[in-house]
Amino acid sequence: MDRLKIATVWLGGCSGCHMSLLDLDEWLFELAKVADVVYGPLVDTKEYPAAADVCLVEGAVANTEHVELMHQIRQRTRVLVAFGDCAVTGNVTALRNPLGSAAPVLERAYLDPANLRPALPHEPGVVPPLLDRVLPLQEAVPVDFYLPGCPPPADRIKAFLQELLAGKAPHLTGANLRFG
Amino acid sequence: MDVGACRLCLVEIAGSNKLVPACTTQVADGMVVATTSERLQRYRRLLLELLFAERNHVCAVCVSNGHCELQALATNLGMDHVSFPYTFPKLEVDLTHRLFGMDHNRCVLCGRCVRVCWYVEGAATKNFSGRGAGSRIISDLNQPWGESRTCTACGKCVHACPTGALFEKGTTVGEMQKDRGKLEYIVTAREKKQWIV
Amino acid sequence: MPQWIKIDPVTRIEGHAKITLQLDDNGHVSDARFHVVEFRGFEKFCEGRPFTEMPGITPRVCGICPVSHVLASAKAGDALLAVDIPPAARKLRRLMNLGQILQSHALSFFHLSAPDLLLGWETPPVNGTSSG
Repeated sequence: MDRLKIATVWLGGCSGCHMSLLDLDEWLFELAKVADVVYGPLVDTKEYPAAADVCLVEGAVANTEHVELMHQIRQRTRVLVAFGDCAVTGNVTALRNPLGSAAPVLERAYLDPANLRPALPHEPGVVPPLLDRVLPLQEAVPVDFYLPGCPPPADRIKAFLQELLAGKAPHLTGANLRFG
Repeated sequence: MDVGACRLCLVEIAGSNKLVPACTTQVADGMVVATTSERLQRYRRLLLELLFAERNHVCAVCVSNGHCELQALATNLGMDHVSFPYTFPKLEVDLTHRLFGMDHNRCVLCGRCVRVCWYVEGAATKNFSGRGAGSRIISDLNQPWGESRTCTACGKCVHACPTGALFEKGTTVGEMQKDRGKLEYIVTAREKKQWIV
Repeated sequence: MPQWIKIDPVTRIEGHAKITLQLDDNGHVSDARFHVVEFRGFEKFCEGRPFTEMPGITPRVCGICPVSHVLASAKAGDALLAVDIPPAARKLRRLMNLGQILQSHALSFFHLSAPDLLLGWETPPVNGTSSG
């Protein structure tokens, strides 16, 4: 059997879900026996591979670059997983949504406290503009599976990946299916 | 008491295609009721998703995280995501009361606080205003809770509340544990003169 | 012709970032910038919320160093209430912070830096991970 190509990506979030993934400790070696991590914050590859089997997406879709990246990832990935509450519900990243647009958060952080040359970030092509509405992953691209939790505990990630590795559709229940 | 607020208690009655909320349906002789079926699960999950989409329920940073009836329903009904677009309404947090807070972001409009305030405490402070998605729980004549002259600060509404919408001030994430047993104790004692802890 | 070199994303660091370098006509670096592209607006959306909730919200600023944010918001809460915490609490907080420093160094070394140090710069990116 071919080795499974796993990618991970962090969008608008805190990286906590990735830390939970690393909390799998020695089980990561078991994972490495059957799968390669082909893209992600822990790998130095800059380009998303042409074809990946699984992609764990942490974080919500919060800026224009996230949208573009997710469209590319969706095309090149067989199984897309919303990894953690921010990807599944918007969670903390979407706490700014009730404010109506990106302007209030940017102004509060970059203009209000600035006493020297206050300016909003503007680097076209480099710093992506924020979306006015942070999107849970499934509002941006079709998602295959959901792995909720803030962060999902390592055991939950393991249970999920084990089913996936066994070629089954992961089905979380009971204590393994909980937001927050 | 007839309520029919959340419709999560939908049941099937043999011979009828209509799903009815158990809480507002009168039992009749010979009635055959199904409380669980795949169809009911599907509809309940749909209703639950609508509740989640209607306000800003962020379990991770909620005072009731881990002790919330809404969160537990998601687990029990197998809801792993919400398939409707969230509405992200802009809502207030009322922290004017000396002891308690009310976060409308987390309110599901079940009305338990209103009923306990009227029929158990008898203070009639809490009420509804507005209609549909614009409904809000209010104090007195839509005043800040802290300025209410009828509120006895008994805290029954806080313990009746299924989510983190009503909470004791000073609690942080995951610390607000509701004790509905206290309310049951009071009602049993009053109605049956039995003091059962 | 001035030239831009873009390193995007900067991987194997604790956070979301890019680097851009601007080269002048002679190919010398004329400007170098580090861009932090992750922004959520905690400064704004925490406004109006009870301060007691902050130790639950602010750790979500960063899942890698949540303890720093818990402690910072707890200290801000102490200042608001104008209270001094007992010595035992102070020591517990310090212990918690030291625990995080240990955890963070282990993470940074084993998962992020070690592949370069142990396997060498020339290793193809796909093999240059903590699992080799």
